[in-house]
Amino acid sequence: MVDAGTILAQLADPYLLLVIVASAAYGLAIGSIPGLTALMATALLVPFIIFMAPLPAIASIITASAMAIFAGDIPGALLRMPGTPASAAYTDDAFKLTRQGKSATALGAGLFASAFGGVASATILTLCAPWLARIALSFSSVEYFWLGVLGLSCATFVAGPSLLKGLASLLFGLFLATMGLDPISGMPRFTFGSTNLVGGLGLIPVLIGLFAVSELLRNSYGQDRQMSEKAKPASIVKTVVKLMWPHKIGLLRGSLLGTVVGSLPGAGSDIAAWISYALAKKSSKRGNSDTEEGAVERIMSASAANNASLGGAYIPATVFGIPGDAITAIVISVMFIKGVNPGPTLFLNQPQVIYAIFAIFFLANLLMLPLGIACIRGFGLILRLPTSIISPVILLFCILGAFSVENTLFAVGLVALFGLLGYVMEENEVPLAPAILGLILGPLLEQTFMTTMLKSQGDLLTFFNRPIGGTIGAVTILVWALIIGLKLFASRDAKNDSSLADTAS
Amino acid sequence: MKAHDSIVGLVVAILGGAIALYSQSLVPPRHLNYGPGFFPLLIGIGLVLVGGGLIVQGYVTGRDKPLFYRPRWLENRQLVFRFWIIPIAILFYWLAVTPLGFLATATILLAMIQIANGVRWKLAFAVALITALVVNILFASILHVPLSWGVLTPISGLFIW
Amino acid sequence: MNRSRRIIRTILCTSAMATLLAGPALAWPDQPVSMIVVAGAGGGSDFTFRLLSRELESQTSQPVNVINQAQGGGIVGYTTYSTAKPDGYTMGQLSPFAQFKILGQADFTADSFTPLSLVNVDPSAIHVGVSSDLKSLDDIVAALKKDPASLRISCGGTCSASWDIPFISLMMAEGIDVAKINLIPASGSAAGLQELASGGMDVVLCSIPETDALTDAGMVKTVAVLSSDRLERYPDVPTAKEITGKDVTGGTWRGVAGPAGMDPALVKEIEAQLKVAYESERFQTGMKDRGFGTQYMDSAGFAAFIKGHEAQTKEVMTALGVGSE
Repeated sequence: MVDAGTILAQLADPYLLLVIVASAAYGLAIGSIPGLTALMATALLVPFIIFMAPLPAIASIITASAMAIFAGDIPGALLRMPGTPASAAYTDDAFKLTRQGKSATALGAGLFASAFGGVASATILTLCAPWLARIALSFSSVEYFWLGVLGLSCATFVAGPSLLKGLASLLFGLFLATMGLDPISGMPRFTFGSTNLVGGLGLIPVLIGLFAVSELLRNSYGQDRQMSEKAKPASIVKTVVKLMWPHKIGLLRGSLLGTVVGSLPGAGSDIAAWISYALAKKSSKRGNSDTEEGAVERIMSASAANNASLGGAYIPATVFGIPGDAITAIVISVMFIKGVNPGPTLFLNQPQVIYAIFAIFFLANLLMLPLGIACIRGFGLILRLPTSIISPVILLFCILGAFSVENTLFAVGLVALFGLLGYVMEENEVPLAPAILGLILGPLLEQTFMTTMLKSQGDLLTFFNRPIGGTIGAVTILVWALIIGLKLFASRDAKNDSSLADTAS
Repeated sequence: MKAHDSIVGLVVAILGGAIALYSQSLVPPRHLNYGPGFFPLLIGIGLVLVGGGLIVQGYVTGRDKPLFYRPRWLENRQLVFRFWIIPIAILFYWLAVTPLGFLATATILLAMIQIANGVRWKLAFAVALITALVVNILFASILHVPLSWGVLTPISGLFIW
Repeated sequence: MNRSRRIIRTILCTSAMATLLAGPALAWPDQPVSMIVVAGAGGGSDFTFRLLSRELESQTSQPVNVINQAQGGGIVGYTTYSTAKPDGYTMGQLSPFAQFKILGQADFTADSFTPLSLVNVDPSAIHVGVSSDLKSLDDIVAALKKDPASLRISCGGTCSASWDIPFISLMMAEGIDVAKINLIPASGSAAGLQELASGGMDVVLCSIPETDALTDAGMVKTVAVLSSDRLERYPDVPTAKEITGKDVTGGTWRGVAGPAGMDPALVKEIEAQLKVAYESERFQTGMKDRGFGTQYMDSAGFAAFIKGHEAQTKEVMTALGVGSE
């Protein structure tokens, strides 16, 4: 470890602090606007910081991405329009609380859990980054494949009342992921001669269409429906501080899980949030209940995981230069460009830089509390404007958000198409979240399965040959068997009151 | 808009069948055991099974339910208009933004939906123009999102900071 | 009504004034230029083109907007700018592209572009795990001669692309039955290297700077680089030619191109601006700091170069037995 005084001296630079605060405000603003995502916030920052001095540049991107990932919860909770794929897991829970007039609880839980997860992962990062990175590097395509299959099981937890419809949605998402070039042979699939389709369907335009635009469509004919319950900002701190202790297990589990999943290259904050959500729901009685307490437990676990994974992602990133997801990939590139070449030697040769980066991550997560509350308060104020004026502006941001991530007008068309599709799906009780999960996991699953098959020349037994991979594989199969078994039993019981559709877990 | 569960199942199954059929046209190149058609085939089969399950489930549990349910709001033409104006507005943006530029397109789009929502048109245009201007300055001028400048292209260099 | 009209009038007046202020039409560029990068924000290509664009911007005092279109391995970006108006205001990154047509993914060829200048070349290199039985390029060649399918080789990205094509060329020169080689695509060089570290792969092909961290960690060893001379930054890595005697080189390269059919006079002008930008101190040091190679070719040289690239790609892919032709 390096002398703490040196690091603090580095951080005391007023210019650096100014950059951090400005980036935090920017990240919160972009992340909280429905339609604008954390990925967009990070990508748009690149041209600004690419020519800055190294430390402020890295501080800026770390701060902005952490803030934007939290801020994605705000439109999710208040408008049912998740700002990041990661918040899609618990959007329904949070929105339900908002409908009951408890937006302060929903958002406060998300905010405090995010900050907690971030700080927890920063602590883990500081203490044992190089050691954890070694473990992460022992994962090959076999382990990733099983992780993906395990991730798929999360779909059953967000499937809503009908398991079959949830599966249909999941499979549909997986299908959408296959559009474009096949990852192995490069053969165009389902492209019908269109260059735009060769590029595949971007996750962000589909997310914006399915969630945000479909919600706008649903609101369009409900005359008397308010956009949302106003957040009661004054009570956030009081409400949530009381909630932290009872949910300590969920918070710790989420933070730990988030750090671990985040530290696996190739599995980012979205996968971490989903798995943590599923675990909260399955592994504790409290997390499985339909009450307010249950929702808070799930939101806290998943929110903590989602920000913790950001910290976790810096483990392989700083030690080996290998990114966890699209956002960290940008962060790492910026480090490279600024001459902070990630690698184990960074810890030996420039420990003051690497620990300053960790310290910034710490600082950013603490800063999240006051700024986050201010942001929630501001957002609540904006929502007091009449719906007839707000909703077109949200639509414009949806268009802008899709365009600026993909830089094609095709993405704008996708937003309209998936908006209508999302609306029809919801009307027919087909849940949307599993489709997003399928779209996130599809490429990972296919790539790792095919790679493994190429390596073993078609021998399926390889999936059980490696010690870690085989173990995860066995656990995954067990989890799936349990899920299907439980659902079958539940449906047999439910048959008596002739509502097979109602197989809620 | 709401259809009977069996109809939903039928749509899902047909989609699955189409995907599975299409996957057969994807032949594995070189010496691959599992080609580009393998995952689509699995997904297609999965969708057919799930769709079949939904058809049966719908038949068992909802024999007396209508095949299609028309919600009440569809009878109110104004509400139907408010619904469709949203996809139409996005389509309008898609087609108009390159020739007209973001500023004009966004202004028209915002005003159009506000008026459809019953906002007085003077107010609608004022709000639309100011919003479009602010968004244009923030995203195109400051954040350098490559939004189209349309007719302003020749002098747009002055507005990109 | 009056108010909105006034606003419109103000805008019209301002824009008219702005036109006047801009003065008489200068040579290229007299309006903002779009520079399409066929890779995502923050990557190596993005960095190279942002460096270059910054120089162009300060030379010409017109904004040069970097637009990232990485979808479909860059196919979307290539299509966007090769079908744009050839007026010099839409240009883009040209990097190895010939495989797209051969794989039936896209229909652009060398004739779809107007090459303007090449600015960067990064040779492919061959990496193995430190604990692997393979210790040198000779070991790899020997193993492949015995059984071409015996090694799991990661392309460090998609296959039939920058890193594996020169490697396969080399193996063809060694007389190996390349159609049987087990080439495995990865979602990027980082993913390939991760597989190498976890023991899932025997050989990874990618550029050297990408492996710095893992080499420092004592997990990866670079056995040869596919360039004509040793790299200044890595004096200990031998070239493939030193080891095998076969002069096969290749890797990735980045240049600026426009749509086909640009006016030769315009090409001359842009070429001149690009040359100044390339030679600028900031571009050169920026590239060097990041470990990227710099190499300049003018429009004519670059045009010949991409024809050669098409021919090499075609030859290798035919030998591999991939592609629709």
